[in-house]
Amino acid sequence: MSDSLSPTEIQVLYEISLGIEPASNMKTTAQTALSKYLQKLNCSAAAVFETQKRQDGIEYDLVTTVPDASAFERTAGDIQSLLPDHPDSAPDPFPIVSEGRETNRYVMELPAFGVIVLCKRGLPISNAVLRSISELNSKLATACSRVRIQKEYETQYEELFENAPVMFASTRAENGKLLIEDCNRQFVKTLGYEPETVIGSPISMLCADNEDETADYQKYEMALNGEFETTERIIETQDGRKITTILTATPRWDRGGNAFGTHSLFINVTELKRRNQQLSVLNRILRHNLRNDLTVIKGALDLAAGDANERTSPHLENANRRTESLQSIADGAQNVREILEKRDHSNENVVSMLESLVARAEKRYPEANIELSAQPASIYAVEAIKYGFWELIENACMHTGEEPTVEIRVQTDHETVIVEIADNGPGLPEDEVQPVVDGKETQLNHSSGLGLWLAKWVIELSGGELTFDSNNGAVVRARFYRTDR
Amino acid sequence: MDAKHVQNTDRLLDSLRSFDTDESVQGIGVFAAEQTAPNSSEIDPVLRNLSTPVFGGIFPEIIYRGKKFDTGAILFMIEVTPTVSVISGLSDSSSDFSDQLPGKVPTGGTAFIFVDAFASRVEALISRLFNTYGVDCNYLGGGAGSLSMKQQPCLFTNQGLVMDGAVFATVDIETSIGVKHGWQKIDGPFQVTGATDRKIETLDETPAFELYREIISEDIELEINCENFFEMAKRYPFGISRLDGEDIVRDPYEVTNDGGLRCFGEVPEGEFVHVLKGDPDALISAAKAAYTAANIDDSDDVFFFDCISRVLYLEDAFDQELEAVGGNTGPAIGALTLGEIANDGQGHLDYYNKTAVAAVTDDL
Repeated sequence: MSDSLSPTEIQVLYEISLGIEPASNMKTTAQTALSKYLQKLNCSAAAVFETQKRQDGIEYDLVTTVPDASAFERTAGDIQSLLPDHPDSAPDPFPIVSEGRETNRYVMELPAFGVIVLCKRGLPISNAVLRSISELNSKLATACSRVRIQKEYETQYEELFENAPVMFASTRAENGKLLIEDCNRQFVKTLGYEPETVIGSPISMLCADNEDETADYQKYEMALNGEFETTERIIETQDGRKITTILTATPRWDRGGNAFGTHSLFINVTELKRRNQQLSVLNRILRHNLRNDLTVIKGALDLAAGDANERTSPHLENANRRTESLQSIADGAQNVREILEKRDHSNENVVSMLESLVARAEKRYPEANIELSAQPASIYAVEAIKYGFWELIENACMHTGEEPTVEIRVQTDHETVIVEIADNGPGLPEDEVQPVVDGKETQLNHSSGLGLWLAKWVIELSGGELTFDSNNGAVVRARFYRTDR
Repeated sequence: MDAKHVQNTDRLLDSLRSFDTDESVQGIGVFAAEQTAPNSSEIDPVLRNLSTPVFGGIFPEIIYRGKKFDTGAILFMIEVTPTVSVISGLSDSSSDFSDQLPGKVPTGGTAFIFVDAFASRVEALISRLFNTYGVDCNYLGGGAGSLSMKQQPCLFTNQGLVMDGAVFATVDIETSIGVKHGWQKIDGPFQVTGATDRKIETLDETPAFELYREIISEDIELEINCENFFEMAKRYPFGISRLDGEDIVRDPYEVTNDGGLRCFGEVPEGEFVHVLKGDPDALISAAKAAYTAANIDDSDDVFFFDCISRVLYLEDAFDQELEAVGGNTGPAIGALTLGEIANDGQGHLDYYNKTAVAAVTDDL
């Protein structure tokens, strides 16, 4: 028997390789390849096993056979007894060749995946082919492994899809309609439908805002063009409740690159919207009713102070102080609301911003000794960031005794900017700092507490982080990603 | 083997009715020549009334007792009950046919398979058969239909004459089978760089007919064109290589408008083909070799399925091919088919063209 491949053998091995490609699943991948092995080598049966290495040995899980399992077994006989049952039992045992009376069996390694079995009647497979076929086996092993990994990803994706705490639906466009092809658990749970009711139905059936199918389809076409990504959509549950959602739709593509539907993500914002409404009402009360009434009360107290005697005067002064404090809190809250509405981001030069704030502080607090040492740096921040820093600088100037010393340092490294504001005061009160650090609401005693919250919010809106250190005076640090690297 | 040749449709219908009443007859096989074959309206009522399983086909010509006939029909009786399955929708791209096939075949038995040669998914069915039963049985049969190249009802079943389908009959009797063709490689390999199903579009990135014409014009020393293509092409088929088995022959029978070549049988894109050439002596020797390979028990009961294009090529010499098969009397029965289906019980099941298939049994 010749030890080198003939031209026909080379050609045939190449033709087998054409049949080895990852398919939609591992069984199809293996079956397509095995059919080619069988046809081109004129074999009678073949199988692929996946190797599972256990502590006590090796197990071989059948992936597929050609022909079907029972016909394969009748041709191949007991294959399992041919296979090594322990990694150490036979180092480098492949190929295993078992010559039978009627059928020769060949067991070959599929590296890092398993084994392939070929059964052949008539003439045996030549040594040259047997040696060279290992290249094909490696290709088959790679194809099967890729399908396995892809399957694992798909399983993870499906679990994520099913268990995501948001509503998710896949749609397919058919005859001008957008039909729901799949949806997750949260989708049917929130809407109260059975899966079989919604799957196959037009997604427009969920609309509560009188959108017809044509309008819905137009939005789908916008999604395909990338013009429609996120919108508010009111949908209706099975029992008639209306739910406000934020809908994000992205196109689904087939293998040819053609869009055929959408992935639609619905975030239920009904509760958030309700709380926003409540907040808006409370803000209006704070802004108008409370401040107006406080102004009236303050005026009345000032008038009453003119007629006060020794007994009533301290009480009126106390009431006046409380009223001013309440006015201050109300004004502070109004300021915060207005400042937080300024959410446009832009590149901010940290040094020039701080220089401007220091100049303002030196003017307002002439007794304060304020020093700024800064390295040039820019950050991508909201417009309101300067109000946050102002609150921190003013806080250092106001609560640090008669001769406050405030040091402002800007330090940079390759990626980050740290703005540090340190004073020689007693440190920030724990009961004001801790709620801000923890992000938990607490009773507000005066407007300076609001200033810390404002600083935290605008710094976080700018992608930064605020930390406090009160061991030796008060040190407040804000860390950002720099944009001028 | 108990078989008879009848000359016309009336005799065929009478014989079918007669066999049906014979208690020793458990199955009936029918091979009819297309020239005098019955049409559906004539034979369907009779076929549907038969209580005995029936299978077979209409072929360009038929073989009986060592002679070929272009008229009449052959009936053969089987004393073992066959399991007959009728597969419909053989051009249906969405079907894998598994739900139309029996759960099992008799191990060591024989499966007769006849297909409408003009259905587009013959190879898919053959692949399904092998993927289901492997080498549990021997397979034997071929493509039925007309040399007019028009698809028409051509399969005998208990449902009547069937078109665009297949009939699969398994019997628990042993056969031994030989498959040979005798065509020799003269040029190649050429890579099939463009192909769709049964059409070769390009070979080595050249329009298939252009390259094919160049090769055989040089060999035959005659200019080949669309007019004389069929006459010349019958001498020069393509061969698809495999190891330890006959090359799979593909018979080009039509030049397409875009310069491609349409064949009986698929030619996979990416694979290689050789151009083959016929030699009468080699073909006849191959038919004898097929018979010799099958005739391990020195039996005279020989089925012979041979490609009609071998007849067209060998012409009068085809009588020698029949003489070479089946000893003194020639093959008992058979058909000249449009493509052959067989395996020899050893390896893969394939759809052949221009190939001789001999099967020997003494149990029918």
